[in-house]
Amino acid sequence: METRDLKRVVQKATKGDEGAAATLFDLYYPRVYRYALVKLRHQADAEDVAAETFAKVLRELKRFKWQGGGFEAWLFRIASNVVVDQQRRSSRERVVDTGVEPARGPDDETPEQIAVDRERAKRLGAMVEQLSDDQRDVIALRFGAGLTSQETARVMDRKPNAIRQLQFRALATLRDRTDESERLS
Amino acid sequence: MRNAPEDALDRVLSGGDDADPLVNDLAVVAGDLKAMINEHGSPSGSHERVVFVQGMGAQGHSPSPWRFVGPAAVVVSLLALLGFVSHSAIPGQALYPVRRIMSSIGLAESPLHEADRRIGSVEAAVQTAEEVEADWPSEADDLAVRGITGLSLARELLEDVGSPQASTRLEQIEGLEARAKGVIVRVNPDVGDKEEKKIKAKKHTGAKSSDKKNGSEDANKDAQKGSGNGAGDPEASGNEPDATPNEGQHDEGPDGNGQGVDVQGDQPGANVQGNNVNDDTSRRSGSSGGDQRDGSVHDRRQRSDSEGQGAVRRVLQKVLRKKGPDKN
Repeated sequence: METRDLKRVVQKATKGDEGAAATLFDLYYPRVYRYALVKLRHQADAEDVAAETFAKVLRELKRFKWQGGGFEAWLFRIASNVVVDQQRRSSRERVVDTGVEPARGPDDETPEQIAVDRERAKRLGAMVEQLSDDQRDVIALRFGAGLTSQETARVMDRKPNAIRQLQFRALATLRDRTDESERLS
Repeated sequence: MRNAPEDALDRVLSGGDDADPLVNDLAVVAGDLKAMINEHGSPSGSHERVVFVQGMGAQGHSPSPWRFVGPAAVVVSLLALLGFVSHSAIPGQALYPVRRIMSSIGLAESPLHEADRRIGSVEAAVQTAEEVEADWPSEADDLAVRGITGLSLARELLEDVGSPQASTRLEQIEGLEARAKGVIVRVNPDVGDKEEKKIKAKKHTGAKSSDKKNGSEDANKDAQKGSGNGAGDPEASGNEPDATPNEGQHDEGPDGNGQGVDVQGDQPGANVQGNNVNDDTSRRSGSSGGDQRDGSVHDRRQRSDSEGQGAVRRVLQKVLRKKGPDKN
């Protein structure tokens, strides 16, 4: 959705247009969820983060003013704060994080396929866990939330060039880990 | 900067191409990563969706109370300003209806209340005048005249109210006016005699005066004599060049005691009334003012003029005119 269209939708939602509110939800709820999933590597926690983020959007959207970062930067800053709160709660509740839990597949998925998915998910969790916080944020926003490097820069309050460098290093690290893992296996 | 591998990778991830094998390797890793993330799918969030959509809809229908603060402040300010500028309006003034409305909602003093206040103030002034008239006649005279002025304003307010309460107060005003007039007459004992003499003199000389070809000549004379109100003198008001009245008719007022003296040329083409004929106050003052006034009254009128107390002078003239019957 182009910025101009998004702006119109946000304004309508602010004025109580339920259709516009539904459009915003459908557009951003999955992206917030995937962002939280990459950050937290826990499906239920990611769902909680997505729900809590939209509860905050519901309360705060009236006060939202369209400034430089736009709606996406504002939304994912809220999501980022909610993720931090969730991480604090989770660290108290769970001693050991088991990594990303794959969603339950279709009923016709074979046990072998399920096992492969679990293995890949664990590998992803392990790989992402190796990254620095900034790199993990970039990966979550770029490939989880689907933001561009410019949008990611606005959310993280960094320059786009810095985001591109973090992205490059993060992917290089993941490639090295993957190669090393394959070599070992 | 555009050729840096970081920029090239970003360009490839955005759908572009690059020949650098490293960049392409990393783009493959990114693709795998995206696929793995998306493999997990995403919850429908159907419950959250309903809450969010309906919540946004409800917010749109419940406007913030703060949005009314600005307009309300403007309205209150305007009402306050209107109340301030109209709080002392009297019947006949443009803002008087506003004052009535404001007083009906308690934002301005009601005419009845203001009349009460004025009556109370005049009552005290008349009381004081009566007490001091023997020792300080001049001050007592001033107090009485000011009291009558205040009563005239109160009367205007009450006449507009027009309720049974107002009629009670009007009677009270009549009583106070009589007391104030009594003070004026007592401290100016010669004024009543002069007034009576003037009326009689006019009856005798009216015809001669109206025979004059140009009535304005008399008016000029009166004015030069220091009446300060020559235009209001019926004798001086025949200022039409073609006015040739053969006989001036002197009419007394309905009470037949000298009140409301009119001097009218009743011959065709005669016009000795002048432009002030409709101005009852001026006409009456003309019959009682002018060169026939004794020194003290004349001085007082001049003082009133100099002080810009037109209302006081008007009332004084009215009182002096009415003083004849009181004396009788």
